[in-house]
Amino acid sequence: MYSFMDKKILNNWLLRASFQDDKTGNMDDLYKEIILDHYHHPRNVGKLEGGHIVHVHLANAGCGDVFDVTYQVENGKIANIAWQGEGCAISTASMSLVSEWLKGKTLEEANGLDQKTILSLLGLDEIAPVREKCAFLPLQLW
Amino acid sequence: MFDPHMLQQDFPILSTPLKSGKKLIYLDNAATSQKPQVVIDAITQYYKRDNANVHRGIHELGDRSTRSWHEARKTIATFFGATPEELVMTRNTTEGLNMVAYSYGEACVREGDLILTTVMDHHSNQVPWQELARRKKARLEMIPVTREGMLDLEWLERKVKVEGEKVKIVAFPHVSNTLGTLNPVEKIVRLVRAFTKAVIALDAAQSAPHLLINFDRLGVDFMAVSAHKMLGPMGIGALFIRQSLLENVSPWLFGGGMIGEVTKERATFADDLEDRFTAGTPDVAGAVGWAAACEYLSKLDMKKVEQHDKELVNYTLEKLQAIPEVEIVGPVERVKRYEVRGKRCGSVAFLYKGVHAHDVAQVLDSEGVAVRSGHHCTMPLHAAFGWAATTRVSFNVYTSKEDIDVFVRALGKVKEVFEK
Repeated sequence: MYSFMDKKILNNWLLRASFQDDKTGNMDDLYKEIILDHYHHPRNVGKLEGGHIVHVHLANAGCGDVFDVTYQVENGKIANIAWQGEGCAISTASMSLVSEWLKGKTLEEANGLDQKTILSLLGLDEIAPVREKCAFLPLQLW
Repeated sequence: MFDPHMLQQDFPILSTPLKSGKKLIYLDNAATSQKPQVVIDAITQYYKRDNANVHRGIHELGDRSTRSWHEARKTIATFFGATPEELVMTRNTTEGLNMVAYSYGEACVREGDLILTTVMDHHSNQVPWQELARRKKARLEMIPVTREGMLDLEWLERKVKVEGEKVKIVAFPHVSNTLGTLNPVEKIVRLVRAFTKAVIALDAAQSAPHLLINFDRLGVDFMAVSAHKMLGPMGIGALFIRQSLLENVSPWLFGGGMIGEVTKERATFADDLEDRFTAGTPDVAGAVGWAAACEYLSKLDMKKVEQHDKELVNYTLEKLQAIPEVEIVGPVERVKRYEVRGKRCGSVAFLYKGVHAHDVAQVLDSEGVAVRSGHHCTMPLHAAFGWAATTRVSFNVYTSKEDIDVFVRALGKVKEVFEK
């Protein structure tokens, strides 16, 4: 029914929608111990008060995730950081892990926060496109 | 009654295995429905056999394509109890509602006028009105939703009495895509007509797949629907415009096909109302596919489709009410007293204590159950109730009670994963 060309085109499209070597949708891979741990026991929760406090509001309009982050800079370093809000397991764990990672970093180092860093903090190789916004919400910090 | 298990065989995607090897339990129908083989075939056949541009081609294919277009329009209009003249093809419900705002609203709304929509509306029936109000310096207010998840009609009555003819447009959904509330259209129409001269625009995207709709009898002025939620293809929909208003509605898309005569300076618009609102080459294949979907549903009998949906809604409510972690969203409190039954349609959304909707959906997905999580394009509604996000299951003709059982069992896994 298909000519050689047809088959090539069809296969091309099939490939684009396929899940070859794709573990991103596997739930057991996603809800790793580290993610569940940080979801149930998020670190650095709260709000910093006082002088030299930077306040950033992070929001995923599409999900309803909202985090308020406050951090204190001393001698060019993030001396302290706290955050509060509501999100799913992935965004909450990500925010918690990132807050730990940021503490003590210089602003320059902190600016290096990227998708790769977050994935490695979460213990993931990759994440499904539909959950990218959750995992990478802390990138809104800069 | 029809057997949903039998119908499942008509939908090839339902028997396509998931990568996990699990059987797909598709409960995201309020977002979009799956398509039966007849719809897929109708579209394929059009492109294989009949494709040519409509109206101007004086050749056999031009003739066949034009006939297909007109036949499809007739079938779709009849399905909704309207005449083909009253049917304007759009891309989707959103475009239909925007058309009301641009073609009617732009000409008739003045500074200080009042536009009414509702807190429970989809963004597509809120944002076009916010933008129109901004352009016209008009006022926009949203009919509130009661604690039970119904439109506050007492508020509406007070509003139309006070504002009277200042109210120019009243827009509301037939069925809420989040609460599942089935709104009393006739009652609202009576109320609005008694005190105002406003036009009434109905978003019927969520009701069209489940209810027998007669545009004429509903008594609204505009009604927007999408094909893809009712077994038809994506990318095509319709705006129905009441016959007596047609002369007052000016086109908002201009170009080929919709004109009478064009000179270098200006153009007159086609007398034929069907043509006047069809600028550019229409989606003929989409219309043909949609018409096939209408015929499929008619053959099932929309009265039975409605009954089937009611049974699924009630079954789901019963099952979910038995789970302590679940809080159902929308009309439910009085379900126990059997008063609200029949006032819901199409879907059931809920909150799961301590677990975000996205995580609920992810766990359900691992069991092959496809649901929707998030705000379902109803942010003002979620804000009014203080929900961050909800999980929604929604149905179609091929949904069976066994599908609901699989979903409820999968919900048990949420507890397992998150109570670790």
